[in-house]
Amino acid sequence: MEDRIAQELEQVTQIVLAPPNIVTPEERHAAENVILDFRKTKMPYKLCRHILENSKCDYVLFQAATTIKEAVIREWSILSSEDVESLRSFLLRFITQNITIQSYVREQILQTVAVILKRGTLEDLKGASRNSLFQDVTQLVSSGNVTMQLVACSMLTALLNEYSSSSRTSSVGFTWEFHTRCKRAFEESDLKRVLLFALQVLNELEKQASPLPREAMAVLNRMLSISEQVLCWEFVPKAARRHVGSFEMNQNIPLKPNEKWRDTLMDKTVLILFFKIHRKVRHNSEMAHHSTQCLTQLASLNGYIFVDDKARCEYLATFIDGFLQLITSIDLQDYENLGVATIYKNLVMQFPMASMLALPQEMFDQFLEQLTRLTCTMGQGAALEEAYHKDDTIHMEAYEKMLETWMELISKMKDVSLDKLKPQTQQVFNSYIQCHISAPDGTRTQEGRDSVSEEDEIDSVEEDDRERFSDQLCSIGVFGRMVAGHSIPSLCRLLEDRVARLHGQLQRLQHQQHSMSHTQPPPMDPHLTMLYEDIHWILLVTTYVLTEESEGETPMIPSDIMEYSISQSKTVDIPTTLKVLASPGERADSIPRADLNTDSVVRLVSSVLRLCEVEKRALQAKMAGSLSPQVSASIMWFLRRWSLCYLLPDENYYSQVSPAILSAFGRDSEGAQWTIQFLLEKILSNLSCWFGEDGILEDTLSLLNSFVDNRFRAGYVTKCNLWWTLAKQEAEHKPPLSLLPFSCKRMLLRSLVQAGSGVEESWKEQYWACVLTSIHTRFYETVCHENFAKMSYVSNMKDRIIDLLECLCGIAQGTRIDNMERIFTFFHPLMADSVKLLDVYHGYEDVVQLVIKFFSEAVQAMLCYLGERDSKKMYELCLSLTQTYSKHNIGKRVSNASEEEEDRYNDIMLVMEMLTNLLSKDFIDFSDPDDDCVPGDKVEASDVALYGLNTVIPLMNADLLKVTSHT
Amino acid sequence: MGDVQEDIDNDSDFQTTESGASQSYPQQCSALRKNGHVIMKGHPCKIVEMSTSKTGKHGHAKVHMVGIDIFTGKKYEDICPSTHNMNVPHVKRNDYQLVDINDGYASLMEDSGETRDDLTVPKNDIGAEITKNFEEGDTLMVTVLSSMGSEVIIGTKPVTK
Repeated sequence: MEDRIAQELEQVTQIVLAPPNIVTPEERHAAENVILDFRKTKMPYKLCRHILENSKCDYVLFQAATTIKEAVIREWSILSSEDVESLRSFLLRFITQNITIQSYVREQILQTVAVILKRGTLEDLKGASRNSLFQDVTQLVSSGNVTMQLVACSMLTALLNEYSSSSRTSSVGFTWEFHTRCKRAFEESDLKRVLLFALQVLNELEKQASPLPREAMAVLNRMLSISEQVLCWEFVPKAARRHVGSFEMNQNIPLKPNEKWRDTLMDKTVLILFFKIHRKVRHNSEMAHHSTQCLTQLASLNGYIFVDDKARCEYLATFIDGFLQLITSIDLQDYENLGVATIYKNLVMQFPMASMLALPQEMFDQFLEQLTRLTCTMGQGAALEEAYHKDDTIHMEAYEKMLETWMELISKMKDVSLDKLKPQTQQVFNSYIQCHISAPDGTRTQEGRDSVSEEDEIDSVEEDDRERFSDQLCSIGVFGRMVAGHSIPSLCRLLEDRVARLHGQLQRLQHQQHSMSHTQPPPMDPHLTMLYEDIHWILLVTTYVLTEESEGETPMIPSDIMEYSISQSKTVDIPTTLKVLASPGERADSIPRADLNTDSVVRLVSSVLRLCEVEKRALQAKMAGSLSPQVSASIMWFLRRWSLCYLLPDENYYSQVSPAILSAFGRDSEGAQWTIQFLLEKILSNLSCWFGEDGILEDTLSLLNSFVDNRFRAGYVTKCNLWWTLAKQEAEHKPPLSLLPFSCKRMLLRSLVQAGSGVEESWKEQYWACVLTSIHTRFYETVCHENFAKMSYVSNMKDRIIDLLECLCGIAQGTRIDNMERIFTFFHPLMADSVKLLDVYHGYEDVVQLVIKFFSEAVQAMLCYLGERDSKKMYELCLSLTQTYSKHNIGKRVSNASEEEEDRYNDIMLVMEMLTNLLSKDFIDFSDPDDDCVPGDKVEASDVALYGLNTVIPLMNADLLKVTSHT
Repeated sequence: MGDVQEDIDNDSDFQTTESGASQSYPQQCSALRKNGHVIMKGHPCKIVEMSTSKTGKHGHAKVHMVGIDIFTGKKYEDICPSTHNMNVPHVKRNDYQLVDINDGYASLMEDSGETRDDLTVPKNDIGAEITKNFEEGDTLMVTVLSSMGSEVIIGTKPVTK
């Protein structure tokens, strides 16, 4: 009977494992069912033992082990403790007697043993077996037979896997609660036993002379891996409820064992052992990984394990001592970098500053010195990885960890004093600059980068440096501000030098162009590329030194910069500073006394303005081909971030202000007026010369927008003639502004509308007439064109419509409470006609989407301020839009296979967005309630929203749900 | 404006308005968009793929596009600096009622009642669908795409009553 079943299983195994051309799917399916039925056998233990002892087929052995595992869980309550114990010892014996079986079978059998043990954890009788298991394991280890020792390792690993809260736990259907109780019990009685076990073996192996024999290395590797798993253990917190559901591979959990581990982990020899072991294995990347993981975890030790601060400090001292000895005596292998960086980070994160400062002075100094040295070398490694476009980013990751360590250290030391760190941060700052600029000032390598920049196409999807490296640039900015007296003058020197060189190069090129007229523009000169890359990086660093991230906060001049500027007051001469600022066409050092009496912050900004001037002149000379769009975009981006905090700052926000900064950029200063005028000229120059470069245009328009996003600044900017020039150019709809890509129109109009809030009362009507009337006229010229309907499908007519709709979206985005009434009156007829537009263009998804977007924006910007009468008008418009939309979509929606999956439902998303905006009236309503009551039917936002939902829901199908970005 | 749909359908003097006009107009490369039209190597194409790239980090933007000839379905590729102009064909769509099919030629009627018999039923899925539905006695509308002097049937739908 048992033989028959075994035979049958061996037969079906052949079918299951056969290649698809030999068996039919039906045959395979039937074979699989046989195996699944076998797995459900009641009381299969005798049968499975027979199979294990007799079958020669690994797959069948595997299935037998699985069957036992599942049956034990299922039938646990009817099994006696003897049954369980005999099963367990049989399985373990089976492994030791059949050491040649396939490893996947062995692992499955050991997992079965582990699951049996886990199931019995909480029962006195059936649970006693863990002790006997440990006896067995001890025997295996002390047998001196390497194979037996490896089996013992596998057994321990299986146990750790089963009890841990990780994805490695097998899914046998224990409740989470049961699992946690088992885990806690295992932690209490066994986990430490496992570690002691591993430590014992590690100690013995460490004593053996190197090189170890191959087998011993294998055991060492397994034992290290077990130690790693124990040290990475996530201990069940006292209030376990909070952790419900955290069943995942969560790496980097700090080591936080309870008091019972004190005797083991506070033993200095344990730490010393791990450092010694690391030296022994560090040339093998896999083992080095395990041993650094152990050290990393030991570096994160925290919690009740420390009796008091003294114990904590002693442990830290022992660790740092061993760590410093290690890193000062070796050259790191590439793969060791991340580990070392993580050790640094864990030490700084987990140990309070008091413990750090209680270290012997010399040790702490060395700790910082090594941190600095390694940060710089890792930074250099990262820069090389960058230059050669390596896929492997081990240095980069390590470097970023080091920078995070610095940030933590700085924030912890702030309360004591940062002076100690300044020389070190200056070193890291300098090294960063060096890595990113070319020789002789820097070390940026030319080889890798040049070959790449000359030939390879860079895809536009590649992230810009400013985002890609924002985290590290943020840290570098913090370093720079800590040593502002060093960083700002040196950035300024570098930038002035590069700008002067660029100017020279461009002049030379211009002469060449003159002499060989009518030839193609020359390909980008390698010298120029090098200069541009330098300038680009200097700009990025300058941005992060002068400004802080201010997402969601009022942008401010960082206090370090303000203090630094104030500290120069004694030597600074304001007129000289202003002269340096206001002469962008000349070299700063050509101005008398500029080097002695100029405020460095203003001078650094003025060097960016010099760069703008060089660019502007080159553009005038039709040399756009020799300029770098990347640098142009970086300039605009710098200026935007800079102008948000430095241009016309509100003095009330600052406890102290620098006279130099105030007279250069402050309110009521001539400097600010000059700067605004200068920047507007540059913006206009960009808009008319760079219309093929979306990136520059976006950054330029963002800068423009930063001038008008608060009413005060808008007031200043609109006093400038150039602003009016801009508004008039847009109104005339002639080149260059009419050549801008449609997407830019939105931002442009938004800025023009926002600026309206700042225009002086006496000029207001004229301004609004200029901005709005032309749009109105163009809209009706287009829509009411006698041939509109005929021409509607002609593409340039469609382009005109898209252009107008983008403008309208921009106007809606620029709407604020103070211009809301005017815009609503302006919008009302246009919205009504846009519904007709939707009717005509219903087949063109780009137009459809823009019309809906326009409505959505308009509702969002205005509805909350509208009184009852106007709200009703708005509801009616939205209702009619939804009706028209539904007329063309219900039952007629064709999915266009050529569209990207995500884009296919954008219109539905937009309708939903609009309906959501409508509903917000229910809870955000700033309108005057007694304003204007309308008799008659009341239309509520919810009515329109419900009607809309009714329309949209039938359009949502199963396909839509698959598009994850929409859910 | 409410009758716009009908206006388009019975627009009889459409050809005359168009005949004198140029067949294409220039547009800046960066303003072209996916699903739009462009002339590539002399053929009116629908842009099916579009990406921008630059030569080197400090290089200038270039537009890379793949287009499919709207009449032959042939694929064309082109790369062009984003500031350059490319020609965009005028592309129109007209709907006709299908009256008859003779020797592979479709007999089409405009809403004004005038008929034309100069277009073939295309030899593709659309063509097969048209033939099948027509033979089953359905009343059909067909959509005709025209550009640069060529015309082709590109779609069909049953007449909505």
